[in-house]
Parts: sequence; C-alpha cells; structure tokens
Amino acid sequence: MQGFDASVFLRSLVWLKPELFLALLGFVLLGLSAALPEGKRRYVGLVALIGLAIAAVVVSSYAPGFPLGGPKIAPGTAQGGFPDGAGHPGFLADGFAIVLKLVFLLGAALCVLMAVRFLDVEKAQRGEFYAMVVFAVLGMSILASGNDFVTLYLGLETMALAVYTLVGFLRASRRSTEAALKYFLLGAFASGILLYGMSLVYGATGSYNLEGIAAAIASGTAGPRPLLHVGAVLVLVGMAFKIAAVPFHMWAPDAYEGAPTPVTGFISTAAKAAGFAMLLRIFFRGFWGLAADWTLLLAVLSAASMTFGNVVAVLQDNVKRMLAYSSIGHAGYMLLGLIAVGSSGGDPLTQRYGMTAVVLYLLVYTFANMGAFGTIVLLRRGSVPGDRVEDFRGLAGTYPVAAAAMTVFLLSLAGIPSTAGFIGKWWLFGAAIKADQAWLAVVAVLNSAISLYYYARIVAAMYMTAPEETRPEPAPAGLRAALAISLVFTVWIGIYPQPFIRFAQYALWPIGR
Amino acid sequence: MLEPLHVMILSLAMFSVGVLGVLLRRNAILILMSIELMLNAANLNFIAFAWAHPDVAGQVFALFVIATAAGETAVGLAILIAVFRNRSSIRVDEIDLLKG
Repeated sequence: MQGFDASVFLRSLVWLKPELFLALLGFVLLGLSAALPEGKRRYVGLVALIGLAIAAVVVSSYAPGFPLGGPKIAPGTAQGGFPDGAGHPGFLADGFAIVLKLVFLLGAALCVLMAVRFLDVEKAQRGEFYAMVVFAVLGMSILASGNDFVTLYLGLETMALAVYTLVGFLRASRRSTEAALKYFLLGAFASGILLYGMSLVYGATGSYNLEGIAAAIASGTAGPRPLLHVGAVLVLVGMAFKIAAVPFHMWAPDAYEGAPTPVTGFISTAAKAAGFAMLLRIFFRGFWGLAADWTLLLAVLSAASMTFGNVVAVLQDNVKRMLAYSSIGHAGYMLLGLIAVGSSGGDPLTQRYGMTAVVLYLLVYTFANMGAFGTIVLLRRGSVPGDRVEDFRGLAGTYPVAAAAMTVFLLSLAGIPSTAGFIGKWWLFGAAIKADQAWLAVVAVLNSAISLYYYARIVAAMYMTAPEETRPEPAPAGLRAALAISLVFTVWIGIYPQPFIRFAQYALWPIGR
Repeated sequence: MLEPLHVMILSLAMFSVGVLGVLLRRNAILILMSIELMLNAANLNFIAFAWAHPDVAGQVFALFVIATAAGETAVGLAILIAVFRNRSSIRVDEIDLLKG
C-alpha cells in the first residue's frame, strides 16, 4: 500500500469534470433561490436548464469526434482515476458512463421543463427543487462511473437523499409527504441490506474494488464461498429494491402516486436507469465470475416483475399508479438484457446484443415515460388532480395534440411497431432468444399483450368520450417543449433507430473486465 | 482474546436486530433507529474484516458510511417532521392514504 500521491489525485480530476460542474451548479442554484424574490423563482429553473445543457456538453466532450477539446475515450476502452492500493481505479470514465450520464441529464432536463408549470399550480415554486434535481443527477453520474463499492455507495446515497426530498417536496400535501416517508424508509432499508452485502463481499475477497473482487473470484483466492454468495445475494436484494423488481417493489406504487408528477417521471426513468447502471457495473465486472448463479436469480426476478407489474396495472384507476406498476413490468423487461449477457456462455455477440438492448431501452423508456407523465402534468389544474383515468376523458377534443402525443407514448410503452418501444423490445426479447432463454421472451410477449389492455383504456377515455365544456388554457412553453421532445424522439427512434443503436453501442465494454 | 470472528458475530446480531426492527416496529422513529443499527452492523463488519485481512481500506469505507448515515438521518427526520405536521402521527400503520 502506497501513501497518498497528490499528482495521481490531480491527474484523476480530469475525468471528474462533469461531476465537479454539477456540484457547482447545484450550489449556484441554491444561492439563487435564496437571493431571488418569490415571483422570480421560476428563473432558477431556466438557469438549471442551461446548466444541465452545459453539463451535457462537458460529458460529451469525452466522446471521440466531439469538436471540443480535452481527453477522449475511444469506444470499448476505459480511463480510470483515483486508484486504490492495488492500482485498480475507483472511478471509471468509459463509453458506458458517458452514455448513461447523457440519459440522466436528459431525464433531469425533461423533469425541469415540466416542473416550472407544475410548481406554479401547486404554489410551491421554490428554487431548491431545481437544485435537488441537479444534486440527484450528480449522484447518478458518480454512480455510473463507480468502479468500487465506496464510489457506487456514495453516488447512490447522493442520488437517493436528493430524490427523497423531491418526492416530499409538497410539504403541505399529505400524499406527497406520505410518499416521501415510505420511499425513504424502504430506500434506507435497502441501502442497509446493500451495505451489509458489500461488507460480506469485502470480507470474502479482501477488496471492495470491482476489479479486485473479480480478480479474487477468478483466481480462486476469494475466502469462504458462503460468505461471498450471501454477500452477493444481499447486494442483489438491495439493487432489486432500487429498480423496484418484484418482490421488492412495494414502495414504488405509493412513491410514484404521491410524488409531484415531474418527480414521478424523474424517478421512474433517470433513477431507474441509475439503478440499472449500478447493476450492470456490479454484475458484469465484480461478480462476472458468478454469472451462472446470478443469472437464475435475475430470471426469477424478471419473470415475476413482468407478470405481477402488468397484471396489477390492469386493476388501477389512477394513471400514475398504473404507470408505476407498468414501470415494475418494464424493469422486468430490462432485466432480460442482463440475463442474456449472463447466460451467453462467453459468446461476445450475445453479450453485445444484450447490453445494447438494456442501454437502448433505458433511452427509449425515458422518452416514452417522461412524455406520459408530462401529459398528466398538463391535466393538473386548479382542483383537478389530473391523474385519474376519468381526467383523460375527451382529451382529444380539448388538447388534440397532447392526446395524440399521449397515444404515441402509450403505444411506445406497449411496444407497438413504428414507435421507439417496439425497437427497444425487439432488442431485449431478441437478446433473450439469442441466449437460449426463449421461455422468458414468451413471458415478456404475453405481458406486452396484457399491457396493451390498460394502455388502451386511457386511449379510449381520450378519444371515445366527448370533451367537457371547458375552454382549455394554452399549455405553457416548457411543458410543450418537453412533450414535443419526447414525441419527436419516440417516433424518430421507432422509424430510424440506427443512430440511437450506435449511441447505445458506444456504451459497450468488454464484459468480464 | 477478542478476535475478528467475535466482532463479526456481534455485527450479525446487530444486523438481525435492525432488520427485525424495521419489519416489526410501527413507529417511524424506531424504524429509522433500526436502519441505523443495520448500517452500523455493516461498519463493524468492515472494520473486523479490515482487521482480519489486514488492510486499511475497510476502515475508510466505514468512515464514509458514518458520514452518509448522518445525512440520511437528517433527511429522514425532516421527512418525519413534515409527515407529523400533516397528520399528527408517525405510526406507519396509520399512514395509509396511498394504496390499491
């Protein structure tokens, strides 16, 4: 073990630019929200948007071919910083981290665009909201780059603490605070389990760096097997809580329903993507030597999540709750990609296919789900909550464009051809079949058929009933922009997916290393 | 003599008490305390394993966990206060507006 070397530390900072910028941005937003008078707080949202855009540029500057200068990261290679005693980096800068960070920033930007209007309606226009969104993205970014348990855990907690406050942001609302309490208690419980699992893995392998763990497993120097296996299972349980996979999903419907709608969109897309980033990192790097064991566990989680989520969603009358159960089902679909990689038996083509499928689906799902929640934000006005199925009645008459957009988002979630969701599911289900897990693909297709039923209920409410006699107020610019972006990309990915597949493939890394 | 194994057994006992507390207690403050027990059980494990290996990295992890646990408690208590203001109760079985 060497001592602390300041020059290594300073050299490592070059890979930390996006995180340093986001941290600074968060504090600037906090200061602004304190300095600005009540009526001008919405400008904090504007500054946050500009900041998120700059952060996206900083992140992309690592990509080869991006015009701005600085060090570049070629596809499939990784640069690391902050090495531990054995020389394994604690923080990774690779294509995967860059792609995932861009997905998080996208989710955050869409959330901010919707929130400006939503907070006005709720009379809770406080600048801290935007600062918390930025801090949450900071945590996710650290998570996506994490290569040891400390980095991953710190990123996870930074994200989680910011997201708990966002869920309970409407302090005077009983639903919002209740959702925050449930989310917090179960989230902290899951963190405790995760951490205990990490401590056991550290005990068994003597390292909490993912590369160190992988090396110990590969060389057979990992200590007692039961210790390692129990630790890995506890880590998996903690992660399953975070991505809301059955049977660790019980917090999700309550948190999603009670949270402010833009936040619901944010936690169901960006925070879920962060959970998957952590899963991929831990299981494809650290626990790769145990792939035969965890693939079976993931297959059970996946089948249970798909079936339970989609069946229970049929019974819901609250659209946010329905989308929460559908989101549990989607976590099950996304796990298919991990299972495909895990059961690939070392076939690099299947591994590439499976990983591309997961990353592509995270992107596809972000657009469709943020769009769907944006439509719910549009319906929220005065005393109308806007999240019941009956609130969607006659939307085709009052807001024809929004109704058409919502239809596209729902069709994309169901996976109908010519929408982004079809391309995403094509890859995921294809990956499962390639990896000889056809039974899971069959379960997934059956569940997609079930999901069509409850998505169609909303479409029917929008188009089959006459609008009520209210003159609709025009949708605010921010919300319109969010819906337009989601719509354009959902259709674009559905019709011409090649650029997005290439984008997802930039995230690939040689699995097992 | 005290050995790492003894610390690990204590840690396992603390973790079990914490998990049972979360599952059985209905008062949100007690649940929060049980979660802290789980985190501290993990900390003890890290230190015991660092002692057994021997390697200082585990102790470093424990320091980070202590810091984040403080932040987690602060946010948790703030949420509890917001809930209490809204309904004058922090018993989790009485907090049941959201279900279905």
